[in-house]
Amino acid sequence: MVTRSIINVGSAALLGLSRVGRMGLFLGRTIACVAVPPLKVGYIVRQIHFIGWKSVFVVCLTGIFTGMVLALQGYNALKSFGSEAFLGPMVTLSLVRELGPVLSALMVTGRAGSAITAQIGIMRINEQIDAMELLGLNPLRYLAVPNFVAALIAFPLLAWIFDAIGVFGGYVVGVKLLGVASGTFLGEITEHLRMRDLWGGAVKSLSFGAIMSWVCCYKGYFSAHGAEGVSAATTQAVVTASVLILVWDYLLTAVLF
Amino acid sequence: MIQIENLWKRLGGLEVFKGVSFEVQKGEFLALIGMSGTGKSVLLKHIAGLMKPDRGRILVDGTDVTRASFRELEDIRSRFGFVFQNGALFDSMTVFDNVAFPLREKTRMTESKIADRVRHDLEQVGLGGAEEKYPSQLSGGMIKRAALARALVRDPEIVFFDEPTTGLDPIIAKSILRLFDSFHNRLKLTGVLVSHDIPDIFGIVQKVAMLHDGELVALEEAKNIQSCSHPVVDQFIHGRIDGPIRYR
Repeated sequence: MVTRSIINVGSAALLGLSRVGRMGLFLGRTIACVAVPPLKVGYIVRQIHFIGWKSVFVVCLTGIFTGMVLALQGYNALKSFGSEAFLGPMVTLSLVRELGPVLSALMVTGRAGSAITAQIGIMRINEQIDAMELLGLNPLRYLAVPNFVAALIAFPLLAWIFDAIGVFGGYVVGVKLLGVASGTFLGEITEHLRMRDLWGGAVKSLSFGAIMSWVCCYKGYFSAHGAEGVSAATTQAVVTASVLILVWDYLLTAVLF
Repeated sequence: MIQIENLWKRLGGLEVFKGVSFEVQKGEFLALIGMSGTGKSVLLKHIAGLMKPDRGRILVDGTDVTRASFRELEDIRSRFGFVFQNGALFDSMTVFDNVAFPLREKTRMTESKIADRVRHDLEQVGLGGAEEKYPSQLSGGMIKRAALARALVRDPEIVFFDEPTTGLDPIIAKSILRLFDSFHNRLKLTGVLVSHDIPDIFGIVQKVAMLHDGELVALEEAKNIQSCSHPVVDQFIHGRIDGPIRYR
């Protein structure tokens, strides 16, 4: 009984380690392909359009409501301390440092990450990836690298859009609805917002882009056979990427700010 | 040209190959037959380097595919053409782009030369006029033809056909096999064909190998296979229900 349990625990640990190792190798190979030309520029541009441009609407929508809610909640909290003047910086710093990168990354993971996994997974089960290999081509160059590079470019831009729209939403609620002076709202933002905050948010977004593309491409690339396999891979990709983004966000916040 | 030596492979608790060995000579067209699930397609994937055996060697002109480096494998694969069972066409590309893809990515040909070559090859397989169609708009037979055009567009020396006629009506299936035969004779290709089209395939291949229970039970000249006395081969080729083959 005890021996059996030890064997089970050991097997599970070995399986987990081999999966982590395989994911690490996948990331290493992808980065190696990015570093060694040729890059497939056309594929990268297409993926920037897919991951970035097509996510702008959903990012704007979540950004504006996040900013509005922050202003509403923040105003009530700050009012009890007589500090309504700091509503602008509170909304802006929350967005730039934290909510912009994280929420935009989670939204894009749900929208584009799931589609990337499904697409690559279907290519796997239809033997299109095998076909690429047999044509003497490295599938990572066509499937993982364009998504990886595109996510690195698109994620920081989307986060900045999220931030800008969120601040606008906060401004509308704070200034137009709750009566905070416009000059105070904007003036305090310029007073408290530093370049370091913007770059910190960008670093977070970059790493979230890498996590999303890495996990989603990996899960699709090694998806099991059949529609069920692709479906499971898609779910796992979104869940794993989202959890990793949140964990990594905590670690980065501890280091950066 | 292709030597398979003492190949062993276990998949999902099942011994798929138990010391399989045979050779395919240059210019030879060999048919691989056997019951469904006996590992014929798996064997093709081993030869192409897509899967690795537990034991044994696969030599292609002296290079061991099972231990080849990435570069060596790339070199060997540049001599291969592979027609997958379902075609494995890239579904986001048109037929033209599917066939042009290997040329664009692996050669320095100009776009106009690529266009000429692709149109020529599509005409050869009877797909002239279907260049701008997507795989989802093609019939089963057209998909196999497009897959054949893509497999042959880089003038491979060795071509693998994985059940190319499965799911096609008898007339289209015969026309596809005739197409393979004409390409084989014209281009002097070495080929390995996995198929259940018995006896039609015996007219186009030189040799027939049969896999059963992880072993090669027969390797015969095509003209002799129908008179093979091995009870498993005899039952399979003549489609007899009673015999040593047990249905699972």
